[in-house]
Amino acid sequence: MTRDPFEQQLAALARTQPRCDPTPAWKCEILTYAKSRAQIRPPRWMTYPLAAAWLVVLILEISRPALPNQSASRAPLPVTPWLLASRQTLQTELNLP
Amino acid sequence: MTHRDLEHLYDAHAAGLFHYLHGFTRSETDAKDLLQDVFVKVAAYQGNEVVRQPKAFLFRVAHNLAIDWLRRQRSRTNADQQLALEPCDPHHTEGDPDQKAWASSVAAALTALPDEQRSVVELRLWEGFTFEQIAHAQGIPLNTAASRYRYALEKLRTRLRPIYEELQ
Repeated sequence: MTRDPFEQQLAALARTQPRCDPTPAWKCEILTYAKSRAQIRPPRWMTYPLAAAWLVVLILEISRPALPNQSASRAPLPVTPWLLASRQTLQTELNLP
Repeated sequence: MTHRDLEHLYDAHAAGLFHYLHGFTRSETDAKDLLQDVFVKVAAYQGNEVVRQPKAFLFRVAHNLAIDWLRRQRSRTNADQQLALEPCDPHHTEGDPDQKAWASSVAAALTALPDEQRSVVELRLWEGFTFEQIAHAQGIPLNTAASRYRYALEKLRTRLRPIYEELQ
């Protein structure tokens, strides 16, 4: 694309006239900060194995056969003697049947 | 990305990125903050684009950050406050007073352009981008990039005509 003289004058300005550049003085500060922020994030490659592991755990949990129910004629839970005595005392005091 | 790669990118493109961002922020402090954000994103980036087209990638990141910054600023400040920001005259011209006047006039004229036009001129003339690269960096169609450049050039031509003709 050919440029007209005005555009060429602008382009010459861009080429020949230096602009103030404070960036070299900031280089260490900016790059140190950038690297420290980048290290906080875990690498992306770890997310796929972790996600796959969680998926396997979920599938195993869902597909695990249910435990068989316990027998209906299960022996009653043992009751401690002091509990029985406490209950009898309470019934007496409250005149419960 | 290694620290050396990041250093090379910084050495090659930080100055251009800073001026591009300064064009949006009109503040050296804010431009520096955005420049830092650019390199935070680049340091964390794990794709291949930064290797294949580093300059285009960097300026695309910078452009997106600048647009986000503008949106935040416009919701906070009014136009009067924006005028109080630092004037943008980044050229250091020494010696020839005519060139110095021309450079200052161009800087002032660029500042007066709308951001979408000024940024295209910046990328085209100062960074040597093709219109295709500009379209990619700014996320706009190729024709839009070319149109914005033409409109910007016409506005600059009108505003700078007196000094331009005087220099001829």
